[in-house]
Amino acid sequence: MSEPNRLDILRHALATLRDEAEPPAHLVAAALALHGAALAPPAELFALRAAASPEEHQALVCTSRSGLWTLEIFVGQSPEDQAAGRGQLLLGVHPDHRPTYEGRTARIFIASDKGGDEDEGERVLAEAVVRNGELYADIMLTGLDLHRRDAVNVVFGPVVSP
Amino acid sequence: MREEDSAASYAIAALPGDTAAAWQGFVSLASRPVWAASLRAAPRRPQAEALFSHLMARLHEERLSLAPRWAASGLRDAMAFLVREIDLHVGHWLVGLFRAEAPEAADALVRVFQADVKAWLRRAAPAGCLAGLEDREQDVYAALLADKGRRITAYQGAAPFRAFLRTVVVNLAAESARREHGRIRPGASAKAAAGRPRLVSLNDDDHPLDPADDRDDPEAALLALEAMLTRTAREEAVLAALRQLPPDIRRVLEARFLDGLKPREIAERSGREVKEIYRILERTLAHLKLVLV
Repeated sequence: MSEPNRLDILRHALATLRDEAEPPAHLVAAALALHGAALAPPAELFALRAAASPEEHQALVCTSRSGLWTLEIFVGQSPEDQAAGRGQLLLGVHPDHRPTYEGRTARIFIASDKGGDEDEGERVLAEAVVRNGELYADIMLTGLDLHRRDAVNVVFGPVVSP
Repeated sequence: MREEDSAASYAIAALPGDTAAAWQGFVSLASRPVWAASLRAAPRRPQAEALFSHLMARLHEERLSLAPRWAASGLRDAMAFLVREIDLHVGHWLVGLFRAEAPEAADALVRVFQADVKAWLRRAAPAGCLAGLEDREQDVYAALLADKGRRITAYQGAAPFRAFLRTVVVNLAAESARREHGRIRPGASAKAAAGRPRLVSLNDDDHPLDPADDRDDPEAALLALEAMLTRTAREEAVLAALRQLPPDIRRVLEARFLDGLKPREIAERSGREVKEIYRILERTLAHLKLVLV
């Protein structure tokens, strides 16, 4: 390896001083999350019976049992969405607990007793990474019973690098 | 400073409550010194980021014992206690690098301890016998790094790594001095010590003429070590010089050499005259050249 010249040394020193000024935000967020990760529930359960919406078959809003998370499910309104049974899901964490879950994966599923080709009796609605305290995903509503209100489960995985 | 230490005291004292707020307060206190220590120890930024996460994880594991340890440490200054804790973990991390035979271990050791090793050697040298300290420093590092750093990996964790390393360095320096000058009696003048003929063994079993060396190329290893020591010392000297510059002058240098702006662009952005930017660059670079000789 060739020795750095004087300009390289100067640039390296300037970059070090600039870096020193503030630790990277994602590292600080991960450090903050260390505490929550040890204490936070690794899974959440939403009992949709607690949901409230003016038109229960069009949208649902409910809070998880721990009180940390809010789940919203919207039924697609366009004719195409209606025909395909498409909808959207928005999962949001309380702002105080945002660092705990930032960057973690979340698998959202309902227990299924229908058998068939679904793994271990689960039907996965969405699996994505929590960013800025939220997770937004398109979902298929087919088979999701918004009237009888299936229980929705969320299991959190490890932090995924940005 | 007083206000900062009062915040530090509060943040450490709140940790036994083990609440999210207490940890949050501690992270906002500790993240800067931990980041500074990480940048200092790790040769490259990705490694510094990994070290930061490692150090924060260790501090989190020990969060409940930090307050009692601070009380038992006898240190009144909470920031000084925190810096000492970070230093302890950096020491353990370094030993881990040597045990894992990581290629960056030697570089990290020099980056973290070069200034201390110099100071320990200076203090351990007999009065008036400071000549040849650079050679002694090189001897000491060569011995420390020999056999995959076996002297470092021998650390058992009973005392802080810094204290352990200091003992090893002082012993190695004494050994190096004995090889160079023979044993120096207390009270002997520096002149007498320096003029004493070097003692060498005539027993080939003790010191074979062509000792076997398990390194591929000992001469190249020595040259690499010398280059590393020189490079680290120069980097430290430039950093120290830059830290003494007023922030606005440093920003001009950053704009020119990190952001690649032309003096005219820097002048426009900083609201100065172009001539002034040229003058700042010329004067500052002339000063830094002296440091970089």
